Amino acid sequence: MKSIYKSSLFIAAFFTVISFAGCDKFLDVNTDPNRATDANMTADLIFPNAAVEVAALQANTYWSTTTSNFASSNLIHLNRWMGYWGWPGDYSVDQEETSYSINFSSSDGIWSRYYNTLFDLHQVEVKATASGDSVLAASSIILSAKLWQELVDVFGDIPYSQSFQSELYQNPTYDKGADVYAALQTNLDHAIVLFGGSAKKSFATTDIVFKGDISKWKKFANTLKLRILLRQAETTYKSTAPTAELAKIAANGGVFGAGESVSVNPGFSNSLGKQSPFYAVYGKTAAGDDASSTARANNFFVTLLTNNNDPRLSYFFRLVGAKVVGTTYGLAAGNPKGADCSNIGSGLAKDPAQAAWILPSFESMFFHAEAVTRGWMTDQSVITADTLAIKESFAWLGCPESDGIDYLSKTVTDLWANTGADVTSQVNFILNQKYISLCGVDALEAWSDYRKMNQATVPAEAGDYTLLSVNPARGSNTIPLRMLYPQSEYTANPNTPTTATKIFWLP
Amino acid sequence: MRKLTFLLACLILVGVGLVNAQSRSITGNVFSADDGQPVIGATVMVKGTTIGTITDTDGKFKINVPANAKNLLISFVGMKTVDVVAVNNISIKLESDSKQMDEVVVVATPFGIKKQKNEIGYAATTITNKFITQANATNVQQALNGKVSGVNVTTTNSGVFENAKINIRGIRSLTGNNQPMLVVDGSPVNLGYLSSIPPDDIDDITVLKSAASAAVYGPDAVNGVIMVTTKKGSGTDKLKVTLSSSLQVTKVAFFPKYQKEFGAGAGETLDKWGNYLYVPYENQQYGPRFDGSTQQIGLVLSDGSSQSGPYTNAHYSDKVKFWNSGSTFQNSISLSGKDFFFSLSNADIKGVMPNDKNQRTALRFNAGKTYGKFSINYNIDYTHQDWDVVNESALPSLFASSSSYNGSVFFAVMQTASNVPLLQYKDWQNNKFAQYSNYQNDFGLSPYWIVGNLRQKGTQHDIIGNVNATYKFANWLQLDAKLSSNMSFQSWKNTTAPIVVSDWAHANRNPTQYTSTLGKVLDGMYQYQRINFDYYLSGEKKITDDFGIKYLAGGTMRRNEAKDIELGGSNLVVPYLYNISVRSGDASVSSSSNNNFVQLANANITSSSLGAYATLGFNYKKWAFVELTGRNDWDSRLMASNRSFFYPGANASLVVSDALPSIKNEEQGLSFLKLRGSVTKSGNVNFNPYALSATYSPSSGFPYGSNAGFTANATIPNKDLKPEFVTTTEAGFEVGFFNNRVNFESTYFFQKCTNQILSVSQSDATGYPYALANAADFNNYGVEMDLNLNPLVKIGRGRISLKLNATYNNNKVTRTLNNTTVVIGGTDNFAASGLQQSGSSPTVSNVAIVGQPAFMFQMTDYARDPQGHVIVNKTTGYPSESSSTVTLGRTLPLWVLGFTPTYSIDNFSFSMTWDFKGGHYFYAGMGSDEDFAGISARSAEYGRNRFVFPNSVYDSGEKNSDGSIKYVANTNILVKDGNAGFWTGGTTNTQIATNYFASAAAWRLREVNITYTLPAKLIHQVKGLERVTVSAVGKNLLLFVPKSNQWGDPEFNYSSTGNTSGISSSFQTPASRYFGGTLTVQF
Repeated sequence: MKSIYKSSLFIAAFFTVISFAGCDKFLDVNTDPNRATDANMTADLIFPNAAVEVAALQANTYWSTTTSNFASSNLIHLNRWMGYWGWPGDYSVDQEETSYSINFSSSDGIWSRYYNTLFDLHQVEVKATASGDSVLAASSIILSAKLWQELVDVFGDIPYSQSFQSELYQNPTYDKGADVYAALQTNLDHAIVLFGGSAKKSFATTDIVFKGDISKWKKFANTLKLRILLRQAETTYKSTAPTAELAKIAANGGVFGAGESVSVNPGFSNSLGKQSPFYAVYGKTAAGDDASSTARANNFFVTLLTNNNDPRLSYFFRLVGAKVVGTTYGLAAGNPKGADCSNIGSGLAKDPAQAAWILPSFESMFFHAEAVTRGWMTDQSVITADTLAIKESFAWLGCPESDGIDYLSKTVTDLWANTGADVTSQVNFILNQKYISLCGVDALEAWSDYRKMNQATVPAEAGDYTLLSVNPARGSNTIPLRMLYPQSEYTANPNTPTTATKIFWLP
Repeated sequence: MRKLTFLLACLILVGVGLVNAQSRSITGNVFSADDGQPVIGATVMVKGTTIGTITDTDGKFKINVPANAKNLLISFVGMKTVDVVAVNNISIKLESDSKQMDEVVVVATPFGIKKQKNEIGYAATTITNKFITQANATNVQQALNGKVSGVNVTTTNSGVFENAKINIRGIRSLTGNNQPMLVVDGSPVNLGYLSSIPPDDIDDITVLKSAASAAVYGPDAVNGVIMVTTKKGSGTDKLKVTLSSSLQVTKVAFFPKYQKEFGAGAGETLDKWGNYLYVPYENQQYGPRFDGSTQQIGLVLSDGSSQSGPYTNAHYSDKVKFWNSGSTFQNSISLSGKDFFFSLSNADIKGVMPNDKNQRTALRFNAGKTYGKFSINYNIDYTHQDWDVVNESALPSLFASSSSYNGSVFFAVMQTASNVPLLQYKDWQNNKFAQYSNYQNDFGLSPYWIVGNLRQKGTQHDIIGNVNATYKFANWLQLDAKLSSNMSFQSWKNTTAPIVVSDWAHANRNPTQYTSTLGKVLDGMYQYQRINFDYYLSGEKKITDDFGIKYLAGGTMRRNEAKDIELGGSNLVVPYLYNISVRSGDASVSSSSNNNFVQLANANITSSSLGAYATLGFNYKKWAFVELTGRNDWDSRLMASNRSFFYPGANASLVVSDALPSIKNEEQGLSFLKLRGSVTKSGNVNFNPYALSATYSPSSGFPYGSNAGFTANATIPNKDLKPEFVTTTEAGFEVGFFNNRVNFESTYFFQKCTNQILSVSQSDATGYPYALANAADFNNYGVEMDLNLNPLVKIGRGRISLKLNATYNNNKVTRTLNNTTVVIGGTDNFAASGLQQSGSSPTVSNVAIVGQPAFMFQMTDYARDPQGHVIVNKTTGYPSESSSTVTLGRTLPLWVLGFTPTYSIDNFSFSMTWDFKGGHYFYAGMGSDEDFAGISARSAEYGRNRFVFPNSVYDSGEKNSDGSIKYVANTNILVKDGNAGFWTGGTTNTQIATNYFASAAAWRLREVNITYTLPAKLIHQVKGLERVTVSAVGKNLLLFVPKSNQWGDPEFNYSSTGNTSGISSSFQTPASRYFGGTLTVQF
């Protein structure tokens, strides 16, 4: 009996020993063998994707969600609100979008895409700084500055100073738009300083934007600085020009000119999922079919360009038969079917491997032209700066300048001759030219100009067509001045303002 | 059951002197009064002595009794003991005793230590094989439904897999697992395996409802345990053979309400009065009213031919006939010998979805042997499934531009206009009008084409094996060691056929759908294995005659390993050849995001845990029992410093009727009374391995050549996560009256659930839209009641008995992180997983809010005045969307009731199960899509005419005296467009979730079944034949829902595993009725 007792004790002890001696080793199996974590992720692995995302946001395209409906993950509706694009007749009209009834779920996708991309850029900056790679950090600061400004331009006050510190601030407070703008100027100055450091050898390959050309990064910073200044031209700098900032821009090499576009190309090609984002969504599929069944020319814009004999029309849109056929925005019945009206043209959807633009050269030249008009820069005459920007738009689209001689020499001159001598009229003239050039390229910029100048940059009518939607349920006679904060913010962040305030740079 | 009890009877007889000298011999037969079958293993004792024997396989016995013996006592577990005069050639009938039936043992350790039910201080219910096979269930979930109080089974689909969601006593984790643990023959197994156990193999199922069982079973048992014991050897030398064959037919039923008056059109063309004209290629049915005229259907094809037909709803019935009669044809054979059980079964399942099929073959071998003090038991079972089903999840990504909404097969069927002869398009390969390029609809695919071209073929092998060795050192101490392993190998291939669009369709039809695409494939493999090693020492000892102790101490080791591989290509160049290597461009490799509650893709996953536990029980005079338990776990998924956690427990029971025999009055009054109670704590790690670090994933598109690109994933975890803890307090009683003809059992439970691990939504501006943290506490409580009247009345030889069960279950959130609303899931997740994607569908979430039940619905609503009237625009008559969401209605039922009346006479029995679930709500996700498509009955409520929005007000332009807006009742402002303009408008209709929200209350005739056992006289004419039973069953026969529910069966849910409840979508097959029959033959 006693021996049984002993042996049972022994067996119990034996099992206890074998199970707990190896206990730690048995249990230490929680290191993820599948996914990258902060322990092994590096800045140069995040940067290329973030740069492509900046371009995808710019062109209102997004990889996996190519939905063209309102309230999707991008600002494609601005292309329609600004009169560039419309819906073909074989789709029922989107009631919300065409009646300008924005709601709280309209911007969930836009908001999260911007912040996701900004967070990746933030991680690049943090990781690059930690590893002493100041040049890569500076590049991500510059790309971030572009997106931050756009967030302010779309929503007004936004979480900025408390953003991306999840452990400290689960509910980031909202910073005033003006404060964010000011911080961006400082950031851009700081980035230019950081470019004084030496780039890592790998930067030339990591930098799929400028292939390691630091002088171009500095010019990009300058161009963004000018864009920030110009946005406030009707408020902050209405009476006093921002001379100190302008001097910095001049001192650091000025803004982009002809042939200097910011774009990104990691190696796009004509296969599924590898096409350049804009081409993938608005051009042709890898199999050669039309990628978009909903983006079509808008009669308003078609008439505007036809009246001015502007040859760029057939680069913005494809011909149907011998001409560009538009649709009327907001019309419930009577628009041509998708196959019978003009899809996006070859000036924008050039080829599947095209570089994805982040900021085209002509847009920067229009910044310059507006600065000249406002007397902020004096290196050219207004009409010269304007003409050069338009010519650059032709070149960027691939439209031979010779086709536009008529437009450039007569129309522009005549229009310019009829423009008043006051700065506001002249700015409106420049921004109208900019508006035309930005069709399908940067509707957000066109919308911002339009709002900044009290709707004067785009005519209300062109022939029989109006800029505004013809949907009879349209709630207001103006295009909305901002988007509402998304539902997701109201759900998750108690600091979200409940009242919508005017965007600070609006007059 | 009888075979098991036979073994038990043998055990009981140990210590009983079997033979005595100076005796005479008596022989006899023991039969069951219920079915006239011989009772095997019944105990025959000489009254007042320890002399006894048991009956053999024919129910016969022979016993030598002392010359002075007067009476015999014949007893059998589950039957009433009979006292008869000891005469030779006696024939005895035993009547069943429902109370005693329940007193059988329950298995209370991972390895099968059995306990009398009296000993247990918490709720446990056993369902016998008879009950399971009587219900003719094709799987165990179905068998449990409506039968046991506190158990809520929700069907998720009527497909060929018949997934079900099981919750016992509501929920204990807000976002983690709430499904019970499944233990098959003592081995812990994934719950999903439950549906693949052939019901015929099951000896019994015990449901341990209490979290108290976690003390020995470990964390997985916090949600209760379903213990399945498969059949063992019969214990007799005779080989018993059972053949069983059953057929069950499935018919679709309970559709949402549809309009049958209007055909296709969406306002593309109008007459001069502004009425919508017919558009022969539209998917939206906002066209004119059916008028019997002859109309073209679809476009005029390239060869000039076209279809036409009467513009009527004559083809509405095609939408019902589209669905097949599903069937489950199940055959099994089992052999049972002295110490083994072997079975082989095959189920051939055809779905209501055309072409869907699944075949399941299962093989089981259970055996054991004892050599003196050493005994060994082993079993192995193998299940193989082969399926071929439509793959609807490929629909959202079918086209380059997803602006075309095709939803699902169900939706494709339903959005076919009622004048369209849908059934004629079955031959999508050869029928000209059914071919892809020529199909009548410009915006909706042919459901036949979907069924024929988007497929998933898969195969799954499950092997479970275990060996249990026992060494008995002495009567008071034994050592058990058990090694068990289960392995699952799954392999599947999703294929999407290429779309080749003719030049004519390419030029003339909507490019969204009429665009050529290459074939696609996703090839996946998943392998999972779990190895458990359990060991314990146990025993019991009598300290005095009245007082005894039971003790047990042991440990467990577990390792889980899984590997997943998923590779695909959307660019297959050789038509209809689905191999990843035959493609242009890159292959796609699925990558894992870090949703911590979802299986990782392309990953190797390992986790381990250790446990050590002990229990100590005291018993006094077999009527008072107390048990103390304690367990410590170590879990690899936690940080090393948090990894160890301890939880104690105690339970007690008192059989009052034995303690105070004076209160008993067997015939006229109380015959049994037991009180029980328990307090237990348990811990649970409710997240996946590797969840403690934020992660990065490769972005789609990348890599481009040598350029890699990564993006941060959405969740930031708290590295310091602790397990969720549940403290359960329960108290209950069991009472029997009138010789246990009336039994009542009730339990109150209260569970305090703390440290809930949640993925909490946070601002995108934090960088991480989700944070994983111990973020909430809640209480879950309720009462469950079972009433058993057996028999309720006796009419001649017939008996009517009745089982009633009722569960009241409520819960309340007591804390959330920063007191914020926690979003558990909802339609946002739909969109992300591609489940619902029409333009403007509502936002609906399940949320946890402090002070409210978990979960509540949070959803979009109309803008309303302070009295709740919908505010409409004074000029358009249109309502608008409110800027804030509303919180309405709970997601989980408050009351679940079940009624099972049974009538039996001789060899015939008839029973029904009715059940009711109520107090909860559901959101019909298909509702907004149906309105958008113009197919819902709702959308034709006003005959497509302009109407006054009911119960609405408008802003009068004046102010009340307190400065607020003065609203006046709207009696005359008609909506501007009573047709598509209103019904497809997001803010006017489809984006308003409250339009699709209704009470989920439902009465259901869940089951009717009729069983007939052929009389023994008849079957004994065939030599060797022992028993023949035929039965017929109908399931889900009737459903009664409130009028507000226009969307059919509220029980359907789009997700089978997540905690989101009450959100249905059109992404499932319609609910169904089942009819079937079974023939069982025993040799």
